[in-house]
Amino acid sequence: MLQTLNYQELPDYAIDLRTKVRQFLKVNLNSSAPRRARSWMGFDANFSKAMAKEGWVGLTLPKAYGGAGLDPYSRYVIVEEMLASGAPVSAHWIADRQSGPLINRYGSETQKQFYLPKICRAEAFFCIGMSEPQSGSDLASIKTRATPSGSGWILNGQKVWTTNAHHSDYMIALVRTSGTSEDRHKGLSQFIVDLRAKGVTIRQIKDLTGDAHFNEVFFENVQLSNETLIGNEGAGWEQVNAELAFERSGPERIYSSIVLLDTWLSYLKQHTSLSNSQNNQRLVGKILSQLTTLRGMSIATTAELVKGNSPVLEAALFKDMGTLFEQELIQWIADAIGSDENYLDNISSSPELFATLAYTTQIAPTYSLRGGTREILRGMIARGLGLR
Amino acid sequence: MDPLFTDSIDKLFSTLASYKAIQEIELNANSTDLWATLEESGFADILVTEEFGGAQLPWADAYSMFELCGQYALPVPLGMTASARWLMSQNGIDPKIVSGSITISTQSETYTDIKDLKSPFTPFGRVANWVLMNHADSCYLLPTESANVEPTGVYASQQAHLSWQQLPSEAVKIGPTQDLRALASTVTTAMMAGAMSKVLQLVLTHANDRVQFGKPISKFQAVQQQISVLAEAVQAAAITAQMVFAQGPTKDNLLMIAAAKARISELVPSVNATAHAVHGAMGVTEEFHLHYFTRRLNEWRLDYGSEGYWQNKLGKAYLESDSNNALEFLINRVDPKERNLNG
Repeated sequence: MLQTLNYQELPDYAIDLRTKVRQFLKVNLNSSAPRRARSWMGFDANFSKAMAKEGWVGLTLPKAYGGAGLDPYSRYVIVEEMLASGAPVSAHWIADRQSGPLINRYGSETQKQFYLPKICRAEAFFCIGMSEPQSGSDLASIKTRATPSGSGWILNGQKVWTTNAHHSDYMIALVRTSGTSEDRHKGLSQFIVDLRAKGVTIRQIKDLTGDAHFNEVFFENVQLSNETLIGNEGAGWEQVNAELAFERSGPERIYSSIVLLDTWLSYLKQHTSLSNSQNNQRLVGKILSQLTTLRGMSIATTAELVKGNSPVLEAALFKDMGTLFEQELIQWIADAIGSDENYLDNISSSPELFATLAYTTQIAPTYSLRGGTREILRGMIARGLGLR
Repeated sequence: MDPLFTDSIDKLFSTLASYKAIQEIELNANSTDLWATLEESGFADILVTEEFGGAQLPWADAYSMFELCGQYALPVPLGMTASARWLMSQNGIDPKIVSGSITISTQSETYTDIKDLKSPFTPFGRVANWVLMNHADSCYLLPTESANVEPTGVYASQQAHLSWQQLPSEAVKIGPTQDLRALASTVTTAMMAGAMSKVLQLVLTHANDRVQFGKPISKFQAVQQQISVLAEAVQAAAITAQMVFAQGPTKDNLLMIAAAKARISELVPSVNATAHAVHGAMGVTEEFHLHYFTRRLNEWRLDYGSEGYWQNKLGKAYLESDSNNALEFLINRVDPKERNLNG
């Protein structure tokens, strides 16, 4: 059942991290606004390696494996600063947020010793193999299958919409190990697939902005050793779900279009006539008030993670509202820019704003697709409310 | 917040604020008995400094009382009274020098030029004993007993237009003019969060009980998705109001109050629309109790400034600030915790 979350303050030790992160960003981040608008889709292996040198990859992983051993509050602050600046965190993003913690929780000692230090040095990048051509929101219907063979498994099938597969070293794939699609959540398992293994083919999918972060990944008789099975055979669904609260509660669900917002705010400050406009003042206030609330919700959900709870429903509720905000603010800003009498003159002198607006407008529909669609989340919330 | 504190208030309100009791007071404007019981309970003094015999609770610890005032549609200004008594004690004035309930005027915020003694559209104006308002260069408590009390004409509304020919001799000076909009907005954010949580409860009950096409309407996906969005709004309002109460109506907290009154007011139209849609025609009858909450939410949205008013304040503050980006501004000027570390 859905709990009412209570406001929580960030602790001092987490807040203290801001200064260090900002100093780091001053030195290491100097790309243009349209680049930075890629946010956690922006891939830069060197940037990730520089972060790793600071100890900021594998933030919540134990120090024994090279991690920072930080709690979710500290991770919130570091990630918030990175995202608010539009830092290209994509290379290590999935490993830091999901794959690393998953291996740490369910992996064998051998797996932990092998993968975690590499993750923390930004030497092993991960992607997640979930969706398939016939399995999007209906994830339990996946058909990619690993069949036992001698001392290991043989993998056959196809994944799609796999972010960063073409840049990654490993995929954590959810596949069927027993039963059929009819068995739904039963019989699914997770494997760590070496993407350089024989039989793996990766094909990029170009998106409407000209970027290519999605991929199709084909498996043809890929040999997997027993050591690549993570956690228990048949427990894949539970293991995937345990990560959802982490995936949906973070600041990445409110900051996807923050670079556009900040670029627009600077544009307003550059033009007195625009910053004196009551309509613009009001819109700035509307956006900042919504962001205030969403930060409060994200921190309150983070507090549940700190307590060791799994606030899956609360995270779903926050993510739905947060991604709507990320999407809507783009449309509000577009109209604010276009309502200006001197729109053409003003925007011509700010090509970065124009390019950032164009990019975010086009890519924004994905904000509410990744990590569970709006309709799926609302269905989950309804169940939590006792309506289903 | 202490759960025992919350429970005891919950218990008290549940016996005092039945729908029948609310309706009687709304229609007859006689709240003497209800107020006497509440006064007896001491909850109106929880923020008053110990010096004057109060409990001196921090605003954060008192949040649930204000929230419950909204959740029960309490037809007397208990939250407003508690906040007014806090202000009095902060100004070195013993709140006990006046007895009875106190509401807060919605009049202009132009503190230096308030000459006339008019308080239009005063929340709880029909039942309050006193009104806290600015006049000339001072803040006063004015007795409603000597006021011309004119109802707004809106059925069952507790608002009233109050006016005085001249400063009444019973008027009590509290100090120089005060930011009463911020004070009253603080109280109102919590009451709105409370009323919204009650609306969600009513919606869930009705959606599960009402059967159409052979099944409860809660089983229809179109209905479920709307109620989920309603639940998001309720959660957002609760967190936001609590963020305000982390500091209360202090001068430093003004932008947090602005953000909160803006956001929670902004949520009212969709919360009310969904609630009424789910309830169908039943929801707009006098007999059914949804309106006790949706009517109040509509009024509270506008009281002391609707979303547009506070959005303008907040936006202007950003554009006049030296902040370079949104997060920097939120951290340095709005966030109740970090603002203090950075300021």
